[in-house]
Amino acid sequence: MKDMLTIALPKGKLFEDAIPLLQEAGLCTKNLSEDSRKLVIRHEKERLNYIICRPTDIPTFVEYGAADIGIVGKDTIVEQDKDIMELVDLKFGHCRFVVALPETAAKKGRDLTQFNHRRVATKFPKVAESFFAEKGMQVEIIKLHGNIELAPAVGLADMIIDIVSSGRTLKENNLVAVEDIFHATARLIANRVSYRLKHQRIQPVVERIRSLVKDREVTY
Amino acid sequence: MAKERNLLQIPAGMRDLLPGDARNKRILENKWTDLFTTWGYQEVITPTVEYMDALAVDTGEEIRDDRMFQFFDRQGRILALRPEMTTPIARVVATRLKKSQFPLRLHYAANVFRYDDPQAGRQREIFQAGVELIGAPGPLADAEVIALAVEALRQSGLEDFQISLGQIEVFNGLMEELPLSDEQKSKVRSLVAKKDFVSLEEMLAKEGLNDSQAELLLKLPTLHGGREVLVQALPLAVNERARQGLNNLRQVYDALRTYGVEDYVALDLGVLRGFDYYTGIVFEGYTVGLGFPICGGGRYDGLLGQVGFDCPATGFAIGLDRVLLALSRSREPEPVPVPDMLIGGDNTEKIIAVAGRLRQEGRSVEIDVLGREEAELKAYAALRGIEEVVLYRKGGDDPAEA
Repeated sequence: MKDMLTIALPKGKLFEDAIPLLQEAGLCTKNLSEDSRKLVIRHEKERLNYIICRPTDIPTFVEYGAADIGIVGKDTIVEQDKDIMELVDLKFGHCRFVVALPETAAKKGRDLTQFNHRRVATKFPKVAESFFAEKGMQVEIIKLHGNIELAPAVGLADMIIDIVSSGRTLKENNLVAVEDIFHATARLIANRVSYRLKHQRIQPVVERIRSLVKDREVTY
Repeated sequence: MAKERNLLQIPAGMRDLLPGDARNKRILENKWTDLFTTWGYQEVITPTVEYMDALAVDTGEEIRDDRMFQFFDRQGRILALRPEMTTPIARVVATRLKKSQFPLRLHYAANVFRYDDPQAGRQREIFQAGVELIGAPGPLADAEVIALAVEALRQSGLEDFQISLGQIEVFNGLMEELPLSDEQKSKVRSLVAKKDFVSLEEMLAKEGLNDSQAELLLKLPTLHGGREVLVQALPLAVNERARQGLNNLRQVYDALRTYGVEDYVALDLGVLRGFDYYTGIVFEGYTVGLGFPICGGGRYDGLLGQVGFDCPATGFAIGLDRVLLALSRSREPEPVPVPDMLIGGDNTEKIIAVAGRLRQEGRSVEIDVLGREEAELKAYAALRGIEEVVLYRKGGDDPAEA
C-alpha cells in the first residue's frame, strides 16, 4: 500500500491545466477526462489512482488521507482551514479576491471605511472576516453559495467579496473592484502522513512539478 | 420538549463505547500498562478536572484556552477538563513527587478533552496512553521513550507504522541566523506549523533573504530517510545550536539502532511541532491509511521550569482511539465474547453454588434470572451464541444438560 499514490484532481477550470502538468511530470494520465463519468481512475501497473471531485472537496479528501496529494486553488484552501501541507504554487488558475462596490457607490468615493456596519455578501466568510478585522471594520457578513454579484443589485448587501479572474462578471453587473485582498493560484497539496510514509514516492513527483513550474509566470 | 430530546443525546464529539469497542480498548490499555511496567514505568492518575490556570501551560499540541472545556466552581474559580496529560503530570512531579529519586518514570492511560470542531480524527473526548521520563537529559533517555513507543505500537498489532524523528533545535538554530525581526520569525513559525510552504517561500523571497538562507529553511521539510539524512543535513549546521541539534539527533538514532528498532524509524527534519514547548527531539508516529498521526512526543526541558521545578523531561502520548481505528480497518472485527455456560431452573441454591464454583475456575457463567422454561432458555442461548445450557430443578437428581 505504501507504493500506491492517490491524486485528487478538481473538476472545472483547473482540471485542463492540471493534466498536461502531470503528464510533463511523467505521470500516466491515460483515461483522465472530466467528461467521463468515472470518478476514480486506476492505473494498476503504475500504482497510481486518480480521484476526480469537486474543488471544494479536495482539501477534505487530502486531509483524511483518502488522497495522498491533490491540486486545488488557494481560494478554496483559505476558506477551509484544513490540516494539509501546501507544497508548490502551480501558477495556473489565477484569480484575485476583491472587494467590489456598485458603480454608483464607487463613484461617490472608494473609501471602504464609509461602509462600516454595512452588509457584505460573499462565498468566503473567513476571508471577509479577516480582511475587515484587519481594517478595523465591523460588517455583517452574508454567506451565499453562488451568484454573489446579484446581492447588491437586489439590496441584499452593500458590497461583495468575491474571486474574479477576467472581471467581466463584475462589469456585467455594474460592480467595480475597489480593493484587492490577495491573489490566488492553484496549489499542490499533500496529506501530512502520506508525505512522510510515502516520501520516496511523493517527493520525486513534487520535485519534478516544482522544477517544471519554477520559471513559469502566473498567467493572468 | 428540548429537554426530553437531550435525554437521549450525547454532546458532539463524545462517544459511547459498546461491548466490542470497550473490550478492545481495555485489552489494549492492559497490554500497554503491562509493557510500560516492564520498562520500569509507574502509573499515575490525575483528576479529570483541574483549575484552568494549572492547565493553561503552553503545550505541544497548541492547545489554547479556547480549546478547553471550561466551567466555574461555586466560588467562581475557572475549572477545565484536562486537554492532555503532560501538564498535570508536570504539576504532580513539581509538587508531590519532587522529593522522589530521579529519574522518574511515569505512565498513564486517561481520557482528555478538547473543544475542537469534530473533524479528521478529532473527537472531543480522546483516550491517550503515554509515558514521561523526568529528570534525565541526554540521548539515551529520548531513545528509551521512542523505543518504548515503537514497542507499544508493535504490541498493539499494527503492522505498518513509522516513527518520524526530528530535532527542533536544527530549525531553531537556522532561525537564529535569519536576518528577520521577531515578528517576522513568529510568522515563519506559524507558516511552518501550518505547513504552508508556498506562503513561506513567498515570504522569504519578499523579505530579501539570500537564496542560500531561504533554501536551507525550505530544504528542511524535504530531508527524510535513514542515516543518510544526517549527511544531507550537514549544510544545516550553520551555528552551534543547529550543530548540537544534529549531533543529538545522530546519537538518538544510533541508540535506536542498538535497540533494533531502526526499521520503524525515519529521520525527518520536517517534523516541527510545538515550537514553544519542545526543546530537542520531536517525533510523530504514522500508519498507512490513517491521514493523521497516531502518536507524538519529544523532549520538553522547559515545561517543569514553568511550574517551578526546573528539570529535563521527555515522553510521548499515543492516541488510543486512533490506534484502535487503524486496527479496525486492517483486520476483521472480533466477535464479542459470550459466556461459556447458561444455568437455569428453579433450584436456586444449587445454581448459585455451581455457578460460583465454575466462575472460580475462570469460566464465564450466566444465570437465568427470569425463570424461563427449558425451550425458551435454549432459544435464548442459541441467539446469544452460548453453547452450553444446564438446568437444575428442585428435587431433581442430575442436571438436564442441553
